[in-house]
Amino acid sequence: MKEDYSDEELLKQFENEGTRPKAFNLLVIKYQKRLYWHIRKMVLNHDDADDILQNVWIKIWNGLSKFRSDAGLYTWMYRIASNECLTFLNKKKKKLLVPLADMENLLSQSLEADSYFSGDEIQLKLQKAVLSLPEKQRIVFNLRYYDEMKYEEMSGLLLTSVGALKASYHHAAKKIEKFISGD
Amino acid sequence: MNTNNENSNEVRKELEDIAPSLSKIDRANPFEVPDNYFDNLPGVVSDRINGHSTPHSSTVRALVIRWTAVAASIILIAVLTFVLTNSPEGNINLDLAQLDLDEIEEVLMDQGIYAVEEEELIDMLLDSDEESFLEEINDLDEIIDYLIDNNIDLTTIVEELES
Repeated sequence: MKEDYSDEELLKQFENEGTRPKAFNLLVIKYQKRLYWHIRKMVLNHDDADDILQNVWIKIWNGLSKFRSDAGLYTWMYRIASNECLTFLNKKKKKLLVPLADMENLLSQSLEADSYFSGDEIQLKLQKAVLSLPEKQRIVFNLRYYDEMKYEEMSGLLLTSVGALKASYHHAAKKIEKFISGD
Repeated sequence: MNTNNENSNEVRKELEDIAPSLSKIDRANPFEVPDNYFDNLPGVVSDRINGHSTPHSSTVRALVIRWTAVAASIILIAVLTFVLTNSPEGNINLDLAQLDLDEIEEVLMDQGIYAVEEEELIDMLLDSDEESFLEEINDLDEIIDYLIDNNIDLTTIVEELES
C-alpha cells in the first residue's frame, strides 16, 4: 500500500466520506512521530505525551474538514499540538498549585522517574537545563538542536522572524552551556 | 553533499561557536517509547475516533452541556450582579436572550473544558449572540463546586465587565 501520499492527496481523500477513515489513518502514520517528539520534548513524560497526542489527533479529526490550506497542514497540526502542550502544562501548574519556578523541578523529577528515559547523567542534566528555558525558547531550541530545522522553516511554523529565532536559539544555547558547564 | 548534511553541519558549527561544551554532548535522543508504540497508535486513534464518530459524541456532548450549563450559570450570575449593583437602567451592551449555547460549547471544547478561566468566560459572554440559556441554571452547590475546582474568582469577572 502506498504510504507516501502528499498532504493534498490525503486532504482530498479525507473530503470523501468513503475514504475518510483510511486517509486519516495514513495521515496519522505520516505525522505521528514528528508530533509525538514535539510533544514529548515539551512535557517529557511518555504517558503525558501519549495522552496529549491522542487528544491532538481527535482535534485534528474534528477540525480537518474545516482546514483551509493557506497555512500548511503540518503547521496547523503543529500549532494544535503546541496549544495542547501549553494547556496541559498550565492545567498541571494550577492543579498542583505550584509556582512557575517549581514546575521545572516537578517535570525534572517526573523525568527521573520515567522508565522511557534512557539518558545518562549528562543527558539528564541537559534536559534539566532545557527545562529551565521559557517555553517558547524551549521550542526553538528543540527544533534547532534535535530536529536541525532551518530557521526559515521554523519561521513559518512559529510565525516569528528568522532574526528573532536566531537570537532566541543563541540565548537558549548560551543558558544551557552555562548550566551544564559551570553551574 | 546533500542538503540535509549541509544543514546538519551548519547546525553543528553554529553550536560549536555559541556553546562549545554543549556541542560536545551526544545529540542522540535520550527518550524512548514503549515497544510497537508507533505501530499501535494509528489503531488506538482510530478506535477513539470511532467512539467519537461525530465531532462530539453523545457522552462528550452530555459532559460539555453539563459544564456549559455551569459556566453559563456563572456568567449569568456575573451579569446579574453587575446589572444589580452598577446599572440602574440595566443599560449594558449585552442581551441575555441573545446568547449562543452552541458557540460557548464549541469554545469550551476548543479550549479544553476543564480549563475555563475568567477571561474566557468574559469573552464568551461578550461574543455570544443567540438563544437564551436562562433555563440552564443549575443548583447553587454545583456552581460553587465549579468555581472552587477551577479557581475562578467571580469578582474578577464582575470587575472586567465594569471596566
